[in-house]
Amino acid sequence: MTATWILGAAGVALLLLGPRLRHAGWVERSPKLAIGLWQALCLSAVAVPVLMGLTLLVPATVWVTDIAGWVHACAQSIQDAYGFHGDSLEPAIGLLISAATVAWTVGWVTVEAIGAHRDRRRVRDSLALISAADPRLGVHVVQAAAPAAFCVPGRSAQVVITSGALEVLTPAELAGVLAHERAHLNARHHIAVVLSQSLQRAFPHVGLFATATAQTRRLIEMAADDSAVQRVDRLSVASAIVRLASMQAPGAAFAMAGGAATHATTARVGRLLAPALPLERGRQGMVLVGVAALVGVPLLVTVAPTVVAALNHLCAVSF
Amino acid sequence: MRPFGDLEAAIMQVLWDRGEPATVRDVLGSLQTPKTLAYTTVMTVLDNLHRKNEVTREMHGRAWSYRPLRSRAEHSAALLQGVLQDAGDPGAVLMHFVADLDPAVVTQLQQAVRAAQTEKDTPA
Repeated sequence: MTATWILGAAGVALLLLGPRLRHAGWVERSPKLAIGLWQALCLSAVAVPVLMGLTLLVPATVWVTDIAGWVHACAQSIQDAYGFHGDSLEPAIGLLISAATVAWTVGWVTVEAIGAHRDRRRVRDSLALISAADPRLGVHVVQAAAPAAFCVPGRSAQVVITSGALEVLTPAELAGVLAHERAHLNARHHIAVVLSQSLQRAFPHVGLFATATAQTRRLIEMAADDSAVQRVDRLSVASAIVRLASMQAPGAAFAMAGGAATHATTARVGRLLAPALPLERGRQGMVLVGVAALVGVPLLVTVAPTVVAALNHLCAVSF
Repeated sequence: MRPFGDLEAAIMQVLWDRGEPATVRDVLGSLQTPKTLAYTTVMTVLDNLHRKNEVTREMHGRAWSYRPLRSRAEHSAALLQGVLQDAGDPGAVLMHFVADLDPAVVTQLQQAVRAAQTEKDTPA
């Protein structure tokens, strides 16, 4: 039972402390690392209840004999290490927690992924009727005066830009816009968004997932800007953002997400104009250790009693 | 707003390319389709387009002459707007280069970028 309680405490800590990552100052300095950390937080928050269920379930099943064989211990000592007393209720609860969490999560991720895939295909089909490929730029151009640039990810991903945007952007600004959009596609940013968003839909009362989704949307823009400034100077990327923003008529999207979007774009321009150095090597390493720990520690806690039983080689025979 | 069907799109392309009113026979003459279409087919499609308010028509002599109501650019701009409006989740379906912003903030950002450009052009 100790492992179960430790996992439970870890889960509560994740849900309470995880969302506070959004206040960390370094995330805007190394947005790619931060995206990884948010993904690890989400993964861990789902894995913990599944593993908790397993620590209740496995000692009661016939698998325990197999496991005992692999680690050269005996089933009884493994069961003791998990604090299993032959109670029939615990395994049932364990099975329920694990199976329900896995089924619910996988179900929602599948539904969201299929929905996004279908929406993207519909958008691509509609765009095919109004855009023409420009092989020189490697983009699809829509003949429309309103300036806009965006990408549609997925299997036949494409970058789309309007003729209005092509007219107003300088060559350097255009190169920055295209590099930004290609960075989204190459890094498969949409997968990070779909995953955290699926969890948000699956567990709407868990603040961690809502925060992770909002932060991921914000950070992927900064990560794509970082890729763009490897192609063109920072100022051109900043002026491209401001030029296109100034020519867009605030539409329905603004009314819905105006505040957050405005804040995110202001932050993007700010870090392009006054760049902070990326996180130092040592602190990058610490974040990577954090990512590994978020995924690894719950697994270790789950298998620890088995390992202990194996190391002790003890067979607590009780009559 | 619904996108055109294949035949509708082909006929609209002919009308846009001509730039002047066209009769059913004119359209039939300019259409590049794998197999030759019947006069009545083209007439029906043009009639549908008229009903959908995509073309206007006038009687010239004994035949209707059709003209697009909107330019090609206006049409694709309206379609694009429709696509963007019901694209679904931002980030999962498509990713914009810039979001819609508060105009007051845009002005501030413009000033900041201009200041940075001036600073860069005139090094101290």
